[in-house]
Amino acid sequence: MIKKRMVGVITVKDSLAVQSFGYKTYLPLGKPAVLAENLDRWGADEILLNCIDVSSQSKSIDLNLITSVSKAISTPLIYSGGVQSPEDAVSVVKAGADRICLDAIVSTDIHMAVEISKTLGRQAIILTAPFTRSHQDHFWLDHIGCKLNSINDLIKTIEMDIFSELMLVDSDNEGIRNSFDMSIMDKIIPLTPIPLILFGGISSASQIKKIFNIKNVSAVGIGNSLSYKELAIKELKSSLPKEWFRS
Amino acid sequence: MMTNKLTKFCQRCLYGDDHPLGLIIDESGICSGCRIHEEKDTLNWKDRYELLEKIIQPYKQVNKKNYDCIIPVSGGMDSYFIVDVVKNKLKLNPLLVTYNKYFNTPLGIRNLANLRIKFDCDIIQQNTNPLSVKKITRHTLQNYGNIYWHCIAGQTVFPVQIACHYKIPLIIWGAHQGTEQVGMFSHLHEVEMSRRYRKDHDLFGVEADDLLSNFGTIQEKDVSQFRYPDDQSLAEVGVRGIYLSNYIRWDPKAQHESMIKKYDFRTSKFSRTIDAYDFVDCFNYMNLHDLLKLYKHGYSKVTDHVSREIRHKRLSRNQGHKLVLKHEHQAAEFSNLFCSWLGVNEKSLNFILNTFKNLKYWDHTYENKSKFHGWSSIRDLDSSQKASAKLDAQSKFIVNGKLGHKHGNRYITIGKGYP
Repeated sequence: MIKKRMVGVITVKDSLAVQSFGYKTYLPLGKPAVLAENLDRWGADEILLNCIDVSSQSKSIDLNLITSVSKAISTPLIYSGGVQSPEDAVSVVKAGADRICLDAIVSTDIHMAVEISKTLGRQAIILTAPFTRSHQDHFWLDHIGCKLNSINDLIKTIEMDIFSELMLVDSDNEGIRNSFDMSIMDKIIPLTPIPLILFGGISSASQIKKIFNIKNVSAVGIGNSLSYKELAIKELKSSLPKEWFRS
Repeated sequence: MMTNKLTKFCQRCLYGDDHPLGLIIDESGICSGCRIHEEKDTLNWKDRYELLEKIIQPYKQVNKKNYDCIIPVSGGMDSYFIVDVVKNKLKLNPLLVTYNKYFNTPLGIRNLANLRIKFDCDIIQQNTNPLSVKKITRHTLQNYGNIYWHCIAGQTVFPVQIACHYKIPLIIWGAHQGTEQVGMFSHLHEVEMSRRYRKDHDLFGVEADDLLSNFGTIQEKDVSQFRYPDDQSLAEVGVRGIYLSNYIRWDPKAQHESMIKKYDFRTSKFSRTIDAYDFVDCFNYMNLHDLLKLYKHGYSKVTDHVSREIRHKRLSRNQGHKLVLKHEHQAAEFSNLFCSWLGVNEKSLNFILNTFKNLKYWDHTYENKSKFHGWSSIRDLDSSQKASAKLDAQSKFIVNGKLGHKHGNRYITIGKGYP
C-alpha cells in the first residue's frame, strides 16, 4: 500500500507566514522558517511553502526564503509560487525545494509548463488546481486571468502526463475548519490517473480518515489549524491507523 | 538613512505594518489587530465562558491529590485577575509559579506576596543561578540588543517544566499577546500555548541552545534551565496551555481596576507610558527594555498601550498619538541599577544601546542625538480632529503606589540572587 502523507502548508504573503481565509483575508503568523522547523519536529511528511503573492503581483521568487526554510528542516519541501520557466524551476530546486507546484503558468503558457516538467522531470512537478463552486457546478479557477475553466479542461491538462500529482485546492473553503467540499471527488476520481493531494478546509482527524479511505488520495494539506495547538500533527496522526504513514 | 516610506499605518489604531509580530492591513486600511478586537463586541461571552467551564472540567481533581492547574504569575500584569477567575469563579485549585527575573521592584514583590496571601495559594519560584543569568544577559545585550531574553524565556518555560515534572497538564494563561496586539488568531480559533510561538515571537527566534558559545562563555549549565521540554515529555503528561482571553472579554484596564478595589493590587506611574498597571514588578521593562524597543523597532510600549485604549474606545486616535509623542522619548530610569547589577558602566551601556538603533528609524547610531524617523514621526493623522495629551476620567489610570521604597531603589534579589 502506498503510504499517505500529511503536508504542512505554510502560506506566505510579503515574506510573512499568514493564516489565509479563502485567499481573501489574512492574519499574521510569523517567520516561515520557524513554522517549518516546528512542522519538521512534529513529523509532517512534507512541507509546502505556498508563496501566494509572487504570481499575482509579478514579484520575483524569494530564493533566500526557500533556503532559510530548507535549512531549518529535513522534511521534503514543496515550493509553490511564481515559477514561470525552467530557469526559475532549477533555481528553486537549487535553493532547497524538492518539488514544485505549477498553477498560473499552466493556464497562461502550457508549453512552458511542459518545458519545466522536461527540465526537472515529472516526478518533481505537482499541478495545483484551485476549484470553486458556481451554480451547483465545480470549476477550475484561473485566479490570474479571473476565469472559470471546466473540470474537463483540468482532466485534459492532467492527461498531458507532465505532472506527478494533482493538488486540488478548495478555494471557497480554504481556512475554514472541516469544510473541504467532497462533492468534487465524484467528478475527479474516475477521470484522474495521478494521485491527489487535497487542501483547503481540512483539519479534523475524522475528516482526514474519510479522505484517506479514497484510494487515489495520497496526501492532505493542512494549514491554519496546525498553528492552534501544540503537537497538532502528532495528535492527528495518533488518531489515524499507523499503517497509513511511514514510521 | 534608510527609507521608511513603505510603513503603512492602520487608520484606526497607531500600529504600522512593520510591527515585529507581523500585522496585516486590509483594503479598508484597518489592521488585523483592530479586526480581531471587533470580535470582543460581537461574540457571545456568556457562551464562551460556558465553553471554558467545559474545557477545564476534566482537569478538576476529584481526589484532590494534585493541583488542578498551573498559573504563571508575577507581581504585575494580569496575575490577580487570572487567579481570581481560576480560583474563585472556576473553583480550581491552582499551583502558582513565578520566575525570579532579578530586576524585581519592591512593589512587585509586595504585590506577589499579597497575591499569595489574599488568594491562599501555593507558589513555586524559579531562582536560576544569577551568574548564568548575568552571562546570558551580557550575551543577549551584546548580540541582539536585548536585556530581557532571560525574563521572557524563564517566564514562558518554567510553568511548562513544572507541568511536566509535577504532572499537572493544564496551564492557564491570561491573554495571548499575538491575538491582543496584531490579531494573530480569532478568539474562535482558541489558540493554545506553543513552543513555536514562544520561539518565533517571545524569544525573537533565539532558543536557549542558540546562546551556546563556541568560546565557552555560555555553557550547557547556563542554558539548561531555559530549555523547553521535549515533545515526548509534553505528550506523556498531555500538557496544554489555554488563554482566558479566548473565553472572557479581555480588558486589562478594567480588570486591573477591579483587582485594585477587591484585592489591593498596587500600581505605579511610569514616565514612558500611560499604563500604570502592567509592568510594576520590574525596574527595566518600562525603561531600558522599552528604550531598546524604540531603538530597534521605531516605536515603544506607549504605542501598544495607547492602541489598546483606542480599540477599547477610551482614547481617540489623535489623542493617542499626542500621548505617544509625550512619553516615548522620556529618559529611561534606573539604568544605574542595571549597570551595577551587570557590572558595566553607563557610558559603555549607552554605547552598546546606540549600536542597536535601526537605520530604518534613526539617522545614525554613533551618538545619543541621532534624529528619529520612527512611527510617531511619519504617521498620517486626521488634522481636522483636535486632541490633547490629557487623560480624562475614563482613560485615566489609578496610581496607588511607587516602584521603589523610601530607603532608595534597588533590585529585590531573592534566593541565590542575594545580594
